[in-house]
Amino acid sequence: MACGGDEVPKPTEKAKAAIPSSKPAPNQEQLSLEYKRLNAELDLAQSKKPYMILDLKRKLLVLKLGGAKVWDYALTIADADSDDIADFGKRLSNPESGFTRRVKAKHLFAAKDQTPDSILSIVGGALKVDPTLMQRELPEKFQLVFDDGFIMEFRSDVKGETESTLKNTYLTASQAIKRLFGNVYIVTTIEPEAAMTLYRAADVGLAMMVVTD
Amino acid sequence: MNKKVFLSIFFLVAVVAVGAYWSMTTQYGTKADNERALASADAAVTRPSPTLANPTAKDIQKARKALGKLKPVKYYIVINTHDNKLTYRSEDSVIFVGECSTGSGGELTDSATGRKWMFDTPRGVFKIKGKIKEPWWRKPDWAFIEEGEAVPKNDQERLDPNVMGDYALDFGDGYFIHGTIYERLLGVGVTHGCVRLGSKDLDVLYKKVQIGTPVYIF
Repeated sequence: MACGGDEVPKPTEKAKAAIPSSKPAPNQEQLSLEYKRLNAELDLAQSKKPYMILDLKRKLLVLKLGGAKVWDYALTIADADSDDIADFGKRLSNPESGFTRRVKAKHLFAAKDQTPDSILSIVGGALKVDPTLMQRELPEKFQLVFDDGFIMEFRSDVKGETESTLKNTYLTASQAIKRLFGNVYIVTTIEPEAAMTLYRAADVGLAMMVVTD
Repeated sequence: MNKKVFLSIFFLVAVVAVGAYWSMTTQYGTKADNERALASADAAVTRPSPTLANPTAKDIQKARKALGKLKPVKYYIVINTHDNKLTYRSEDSVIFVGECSTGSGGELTDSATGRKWMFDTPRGVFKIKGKIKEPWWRKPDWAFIEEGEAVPKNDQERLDPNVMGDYALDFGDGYFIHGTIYERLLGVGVTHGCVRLGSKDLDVLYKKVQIGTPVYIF
């Protein structure tokens, strides 16, 4: 007597052809999107200038040069799962709006000097180098403003000196108003040394691509 | 008009005007400066993206291959001039990180001839072109001018065996990754353009890299 376990017959070749594959074939729209995105990155890689990739899904910010990863940072984004950020991601990875955004401006709100000026003046005197050239600032808070009004704000746990109270107040107020009209604003915490690298590397004109999948 | 009202309106207009000026000015210059930087960044894209009406999976494979060709095959060096760190890594892992010193950004002008030098580490993509053991420094003219000394006519007087450490890695145009007698200054941008590394890190790096290893400097 057989105790269950009837063998399932193997499918014939004809039947195999009829079984749909588990992954649907990409449609033309997806192929076009992927093609344009690859070429957008190819352009940036061939420019031999640094560019950024903001990966909203993996919450990663990557700096690349010539196609190679040269720096990356895992982001802690406030309100990361909000609808605003999801909509923003869709908008920025839409081929009609272009895949590349550029840094239009950067604002330093507060920072602390990395090396005491007294040490740098001794070193500078001995080596005949201007001490201000050797100084690096550890940012407490800075912003990168991209075209189309997208703002990324970075905050570290450094206790720095305010650059300009009046300017900071004006920026905060004007940006709050612009957010009411749809500008997207991502706030993220970052370690001081990473903040220093990103702040210094992100010159006006630096290109950024946003990846959402 | 009431004086108080007039002063309030005047103050408000002044605040708006100052704010408008500030919004045009960033840490790095005026709106005009930024527009120039943006235009220059756009010009750096050397070719327009190809536009295929209906790209196929094969076209995508081609584009992926083209992008893949630009990437390093395996290991590469990254020099971060912003925080003076040198990293030896692959795409997915960091093999080691060392403190280095990169260019100070200083300038030197020879008052006698008007010649100028800018002491920056070049940015971009390079390759290791040579590996040298016990390198000697052949001092260029600026090294004498900086010290207020006469530039020697005899080439032998330019040679210094003591300042470049145990190894040097040539990445082109007269720039090297080499050792230093100033290890206490590692982490600060003090060099004339070359990249200085501590002796232990240099020893590790020299043994690992090969001719052709890519070097990315940003």
